[in-house]
Amino acid sequence: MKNIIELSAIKKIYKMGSEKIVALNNINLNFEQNKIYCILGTSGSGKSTLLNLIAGLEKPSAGQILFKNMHIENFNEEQLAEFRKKYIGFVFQSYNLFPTMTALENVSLPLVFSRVPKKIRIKRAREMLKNVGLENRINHKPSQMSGGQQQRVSIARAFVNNPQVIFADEPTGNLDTKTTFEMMDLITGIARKNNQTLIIVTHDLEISDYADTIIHIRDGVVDEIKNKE
Amino acid sequence: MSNFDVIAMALKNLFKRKLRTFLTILGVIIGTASIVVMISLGLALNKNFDSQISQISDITLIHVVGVDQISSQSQGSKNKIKMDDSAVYNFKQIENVESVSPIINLSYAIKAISGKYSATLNLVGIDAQFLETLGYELESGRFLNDDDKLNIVCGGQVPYSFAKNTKRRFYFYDPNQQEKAPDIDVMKDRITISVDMDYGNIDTTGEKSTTSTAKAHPVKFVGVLKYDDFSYSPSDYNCYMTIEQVKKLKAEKQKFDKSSANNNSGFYSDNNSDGYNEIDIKCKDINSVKDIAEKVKDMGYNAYYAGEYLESMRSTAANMQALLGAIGAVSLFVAAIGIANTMVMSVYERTREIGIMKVIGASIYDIKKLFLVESSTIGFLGGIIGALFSLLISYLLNTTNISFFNNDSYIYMSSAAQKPLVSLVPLWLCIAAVVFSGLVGLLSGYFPARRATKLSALTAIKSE
Repeated sequence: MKNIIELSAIKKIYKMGSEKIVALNNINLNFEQNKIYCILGTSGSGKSTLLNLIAGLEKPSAGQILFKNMHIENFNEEQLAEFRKKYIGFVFQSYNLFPTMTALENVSLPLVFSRVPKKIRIKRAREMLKNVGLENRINHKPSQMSGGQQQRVSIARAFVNNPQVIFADEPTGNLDTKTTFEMMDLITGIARKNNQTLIIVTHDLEISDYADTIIHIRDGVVDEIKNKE
Repeated sequence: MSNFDVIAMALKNLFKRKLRTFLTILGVIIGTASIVVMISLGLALNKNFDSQISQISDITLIHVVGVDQISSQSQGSKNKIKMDDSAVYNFKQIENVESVSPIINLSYAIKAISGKYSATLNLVGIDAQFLETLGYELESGRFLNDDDKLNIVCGGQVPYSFAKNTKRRFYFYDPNQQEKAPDIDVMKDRITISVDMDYGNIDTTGEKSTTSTAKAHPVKFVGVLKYDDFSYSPSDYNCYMTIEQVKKLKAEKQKFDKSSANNNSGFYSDNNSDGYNEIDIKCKDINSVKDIAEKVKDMGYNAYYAGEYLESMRSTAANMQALLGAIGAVSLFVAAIGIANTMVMSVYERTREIGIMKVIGASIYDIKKLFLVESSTIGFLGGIIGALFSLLISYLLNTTNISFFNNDSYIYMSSAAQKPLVSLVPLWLCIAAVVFSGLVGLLSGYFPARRATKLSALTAIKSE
């Protein structure tokens, strides 16, 4: 299978005053298309930092990140924005919805940034909300919805632009067990249906069951890569 | 992000924070309104000066009123200059001079009698044709001719100055007099004049005074000048005669005053007995007035022209306007700080929002545009409302009886029917105010917007 993301010799060092903290050290990873990955690690292991680097939110101190053969570590802010808009979807632990906007408006926002005409973006946002089972909540604001519903909206927003890679940072961290499984079924279901690459960051072993490949991170290095068959 | 979406989102964001947006806009409204009103006061002042000047006299006219004592002394005694015919001749030689007329004033020194009515006339001797050049209009009759002798063209107020024959020598302004017709018809009634101010007076015994040695001349009024209710003109009270005729009357007056024990000679006092009181120069166009006046002054004469006042009045007005504008500018500056503060607060508050927008694909230009549109909307809205508000203030200032900068002389000169403008807001001022406050909004939103774009998406999202 074709690699969509290739990481080679990635190093990330944070400076805390005069002290240097090595968050990631010599990471070499490949992510293939149409597969589901789980980056597993305890808090402070550097798993979130890794996700931020791949998503172009942070720059590595050393090493290369190839996304479809593009060196995103060299991108400037504007190129990164364009890159995220085109290829990347995000699901956050804390949903990060706009509290003043309705579900429909939240979901159609990425399409607004992509200059999609209003009629089309409303149609696509509606469809997306229907896919996540929120057709009755279209005009509700986040404050009028439960945590699970809000995360569904956030998932719909992540997928609405039909990105090639979806990043999910502890997507179920704020949800109960039942909702967690519902959410994981939903998110992996859509990703598989659309042949998208899904990269989930979590500390929850149960979630890693959904992944094709589990990457264990410990103290900033890759500890183990487990492929499921 | 399309421009339409940017604007829609910006408006939505503003509307979300109603109170803060309202207060910020209010600041801009006050700033804009104060700058517009301040400037409008200055503009009105200027306009009043202009119309005042145009009312008082013709601006292509230079009045030469005498010899400059200092410069004539410095030129020595051999070249003594005078207000005489040679001066008239010299002035005529100056380039761009249209015509020149000597003027002799017999200021309220002539008594006129018509039946039981009498008046004290302010006789002005002038070249027959020159009167017409001054630009006066006739109410009835005609202007003077060269061969006119004891013929008079009088100002519009003169017929009203004829009153019952009493000891009253002076004419006092009576605001109600216009309602009734003058007591005599100067064009038809028989009128005689005399240099004796007691001529025709009724003495204590009830007999007409017959002791006067002065001769009574029958005169004929051939024209009356138009009188404008709304503008003051010195010509309204003048009686114009040809210069030759006034010269004769002046000689007669001097002779009579010497022979008479009576010192009752009116306002007339003559310290310029062998020359003209004034020489008026009519210039071909407005632009040449200043040069000609300078030349006349260089020849050693005292001269003035209306434009001179206009210039100094204008510079006064410009100073005033600058001062007023500065006061207004300060308030707009305060408003600009208000906008900047609102936008900075907005950036802080929306740090997380900005981060999320970045993560889900907003470019830095989108975010910058969003903030700039928000701040310039505040500016524009404030500017538009402020301009409308200042139109209202201007209207109120003009309709109510407030007068800031118009001195008493102005009020005297303008009649009650024409209230001077207090505030003048032309269209360009409104447009400029709106554009300017929009720009102020844009500028004060620039740094907050830049700050927003520089936020790291990651730290923005992490901030709670």
